[in-house]
Amino acid sequence: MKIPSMLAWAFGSLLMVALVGARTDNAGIPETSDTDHVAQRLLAARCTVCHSIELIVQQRLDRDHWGTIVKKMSSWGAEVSELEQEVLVAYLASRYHPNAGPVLAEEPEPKLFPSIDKAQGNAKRGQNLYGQNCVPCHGLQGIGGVGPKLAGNQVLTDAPRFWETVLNGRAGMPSWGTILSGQEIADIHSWLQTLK
Amino acid sequence: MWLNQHDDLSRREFLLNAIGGTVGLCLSGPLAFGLSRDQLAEVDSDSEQPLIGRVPRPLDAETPVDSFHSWLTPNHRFFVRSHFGPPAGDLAHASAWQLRVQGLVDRPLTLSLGDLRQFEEVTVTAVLQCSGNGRAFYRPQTPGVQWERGAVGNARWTGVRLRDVLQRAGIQSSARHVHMQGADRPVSERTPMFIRSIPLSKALHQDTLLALRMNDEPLPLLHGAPMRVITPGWMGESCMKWLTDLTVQEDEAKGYYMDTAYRYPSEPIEPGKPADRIRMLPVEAMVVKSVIVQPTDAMVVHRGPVVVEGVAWTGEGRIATVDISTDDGRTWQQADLFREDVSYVWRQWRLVWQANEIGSCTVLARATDDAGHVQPPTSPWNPGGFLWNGMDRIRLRVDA
Repeated sequence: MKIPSMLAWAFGSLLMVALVGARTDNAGIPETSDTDHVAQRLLAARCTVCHSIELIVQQRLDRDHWGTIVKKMSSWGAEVSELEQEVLVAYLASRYHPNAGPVLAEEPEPKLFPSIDKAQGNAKRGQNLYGQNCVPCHGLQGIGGVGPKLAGNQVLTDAPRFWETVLNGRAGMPSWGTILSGQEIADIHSWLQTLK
Repeated sequence: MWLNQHDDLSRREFLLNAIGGTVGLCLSGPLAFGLSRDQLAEVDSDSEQPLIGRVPRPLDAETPVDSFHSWLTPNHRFFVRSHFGPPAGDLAHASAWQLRVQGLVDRPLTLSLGDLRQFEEVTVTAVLQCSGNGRAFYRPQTPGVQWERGAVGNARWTGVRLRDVLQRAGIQSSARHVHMQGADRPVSERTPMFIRSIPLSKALHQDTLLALRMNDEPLPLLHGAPMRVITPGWMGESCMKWLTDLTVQEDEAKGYYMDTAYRYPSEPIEPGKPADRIRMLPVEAMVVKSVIVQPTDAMVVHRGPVVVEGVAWTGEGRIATVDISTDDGRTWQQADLFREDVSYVWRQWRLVWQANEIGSCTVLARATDDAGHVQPPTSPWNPGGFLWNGMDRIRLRVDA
């Protein structure tokens, strides 16, 4: 599934949420919905770029507070659209609210996309995708930052290692296999190979 | 020469010093605070868990209260609070370190660590505490790291006086505040930098230090190596780590970490409500506080003498008394105080309680400082969850 179709799906789910109302059953245990999976992917891809998930799951805040925090994080560089912010706030407020218990089940691993095809990359698309996903850690033009320098990095010529790293994560890098499609990863790979 | 150890620090020693000596943090999972996993393996050598992790990246971890049996908190057991985590290894290396002093000064300075040898060496023992220590006890809960009781410690800090460095630069008459910045950087360029300022009066206080050593060891990386500010009696956010820039100015520093964070309302507000139209004061001095180290919560003790002990501290003043209640606040007994009765340090206290009645009881500790401030049952709620100093409370069961 590609990001645009995922967002359309998220938007549809969001409308459903608005119609159905609160997403907790009588015992107060949140049910897992499709929107939750979108939110879980966003947490992994957009939030844990800068800080680990523990900072989020120890909070017990109402919807207004979560709204304020997500907006602040967006202004601080988290790559989340307004629609994605709404998905995140709904998820966080349903799970990490003031009446939630002190210990919750671990934040679930986002579901993997069903198939990762190692398609032919398109460097032009890859440049865009890099800007949306990789630049906070790896820097403009792949010059490095919190994450290693990628321009000219040997990992680009070692395809199995490149794919393994991107799909499963490495050290502080989150797993992107849950976020990007195989085509998108191939696009980014193609663009990175154009850098000196 | 105490500074030589910095100059000669090898890469390996530098990494070992990241968290204080050869005993490491035992945290699993990736810790992307500038050390790679391989580098971490070098410091991760102890099977004991010295700290309670709150956030692995950037690292926030607090000291287990049983470590407060020691009057000085060992470096590897000292709490860690990170806004962004340490600068990348090479940037923090002592041999390349430069401290810039500029702004409203007659002679802007750029000093290496070696240059600091020209100033008098000073040691101050002082409590360092995160202003969010105890945030987890506020109701309703407030956003931020949910610290409980251990985001505090007592250490010997050695370095040079900030005053001496500023006076070497020549402070101009219009100067009122000293802005501080460290070498740490956020992941995103859109995240505000951690910039703080302190009033000139605190910067010129004889006990305010540029610290290079902690408990007689080189300052560990996670505690700001090679150089951090220590403002004794004030909360930790004034104690800038990885210090690279001092800028003397007429006004307070601007930005999120001065204007919004680390402030509390000047008058009581309704818990859970925003502090609209109320003047917000900057967090500066610590407030009077005590913690029960022993016994621990939910412990079963035997009838007869029970040793109740802990530590107590306050801001720039001294602890006057610590009172203990073993009946949930109905009656109080005064504890004995130990160690030097001087500013900035914590006092150890002890009471031998005759536990005669079998059953459950609640033990409370309440400190009073020399300005007459008394630890309240709970602290006034504030939206940032700062300055918690509610009486420490444990539940015990007395058995035959």
